[in-house]
Amino acid sequence: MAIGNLLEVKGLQISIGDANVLRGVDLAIRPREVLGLVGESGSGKSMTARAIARLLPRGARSEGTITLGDADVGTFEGSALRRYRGQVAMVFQDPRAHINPVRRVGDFMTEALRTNQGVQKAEAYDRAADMLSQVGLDTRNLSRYPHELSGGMLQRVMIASALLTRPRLLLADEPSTALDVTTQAEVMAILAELRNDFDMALLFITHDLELAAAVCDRTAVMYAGQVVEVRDSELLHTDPLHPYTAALAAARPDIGRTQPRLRAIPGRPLSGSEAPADACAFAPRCVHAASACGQMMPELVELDGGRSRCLRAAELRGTLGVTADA
Amino acid sequence: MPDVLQVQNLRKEFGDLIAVDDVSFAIGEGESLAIVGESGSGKTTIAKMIVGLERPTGGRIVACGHDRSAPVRSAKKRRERGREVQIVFQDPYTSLDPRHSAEAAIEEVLRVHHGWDKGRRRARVAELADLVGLDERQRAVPPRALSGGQRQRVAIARALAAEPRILILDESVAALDVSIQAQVLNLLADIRDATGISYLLISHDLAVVRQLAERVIVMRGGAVVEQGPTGDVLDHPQHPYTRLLRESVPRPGWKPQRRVSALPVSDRGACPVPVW
Repeated sequence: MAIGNLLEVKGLQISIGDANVLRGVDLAIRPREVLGLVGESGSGKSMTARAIARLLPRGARSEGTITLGDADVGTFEGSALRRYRGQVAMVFQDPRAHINPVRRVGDFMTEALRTNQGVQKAEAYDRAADMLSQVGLDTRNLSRYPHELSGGMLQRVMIASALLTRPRLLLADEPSTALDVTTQAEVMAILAELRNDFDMALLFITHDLELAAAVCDRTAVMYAGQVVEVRDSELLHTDPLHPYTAALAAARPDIGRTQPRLRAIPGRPLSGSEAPADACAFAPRCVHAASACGQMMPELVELDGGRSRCLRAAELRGTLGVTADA
Repeated sequence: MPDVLQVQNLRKEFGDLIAVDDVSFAIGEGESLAIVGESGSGKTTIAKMIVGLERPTGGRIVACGHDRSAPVRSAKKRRERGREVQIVFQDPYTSLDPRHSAEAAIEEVLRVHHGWDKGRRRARVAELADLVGLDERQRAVPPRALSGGQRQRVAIARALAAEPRILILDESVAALDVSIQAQVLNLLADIRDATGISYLLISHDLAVVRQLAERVIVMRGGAVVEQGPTGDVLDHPQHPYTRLLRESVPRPGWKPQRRVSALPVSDRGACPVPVW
């Protein structure tokens, strides 16, 4: 474990049936950092978070290691696993699918505290009430049912209950995607404030490169079950290290101008199970692909303060940034 | 540019709730108009009234010179309306018949609307599938064997099969991956150039609106708060709500805001959306 990392993922491979969902994911999360995890559908970003949270679907086989401090997360059972869940919490995209609709908000929020940590009911409710006000909700919501709350309010309930155990790492899987833009801004504002107040790290999963670049310290980009780039977020658009990141940024319409044509990426994103084992998975869609790209799998290597999984990364340095040519 | 769609003083009430309040606009031939706003702003209710899935409480809708404010009785009249306006919904997972391949879905529309013989229908299916970029395999398989982007292209081809003058795109590209979304937006621009079709684009994504629509209407709580050329409205928003929408879009150096402090009390107004 490198000094200074809160959590490390090394060589994580996950298969479900015949499908290789993750094909060797490497990630390091530093204390108190906001790390973005960006990718299109099937890239494996949610599965990575689920593996970290120890919430893999039944029947999934995994290889590789996840370490928190010195401890191998994969070995946790029983009380150690419950303690881990207090340290690493998760919020999901669709809060309505993850909150029991027939129980009151207060019961949902205090369940983990009472069953896992043996906190008395009255104190658990006090802590839940305090946390609700921190996310900007009236404490009267504790006695309400989920159907009485809007999607944005429920997502704040999810965040508040995830934070009740004072986690060191919060995994947020598209927490604002299903919300209106102004509500998304609120949820992001709340996450940013609480991350500061609680001294915790945040793994922020999103398909939205612009959102990641705006709110994360660093961003990891995934494609076909692998991390293909890790970059300081402020350099993600202007100076990316992988052609896929550059192509993704260039394909988005621009709120500031109408483009004659969008620079679409041909073909469709591959999932990990469709990707070749001995070639770059992005090569068939890549404008920079050379013949070597179809013949060997590139490694994720250090480059200019970030990391890139591209055979031509060094050669292409400085040419991939968003330019005003189109 | 003659107007192909006119909406005048449109109103819709659901019990005590006024979902759409005195909305008027027009779309010219080959023009694209966007409606932006949040959940509950009434934008989808407007789309439903235009295609005839909801009946207006008041106001008038005229498409291609025909009044469609009230439902028609006969199948023939309904089909005529289908050739004027078609709609593509947000979710391609629920808007296609799970038993029908892309070919069957498109062919059905051709048979119903144009009554062509089999050979002509087959040729047109191939043209439409080419137009939206569906390959041989994708044309023959049921929707469950297709990705979201491929399904949405089937839905677009199916809507175009009726050869409508107006296509309503109700968050039709919102669920697509970024790389696929760009393909579909380029495709929609090509189709407009080739056919002169008009789009009514309903979207919450201001960048998508900037790319596809020349004019934009901003709605809140059922009413229009601002409208104008897309560039003017997005670059120089006048209404506080439009400014809030614009400021909520992530960008480098973005500081997300909590809503209450971001919008003056006087502008929160009579809005059915809960403001915590």
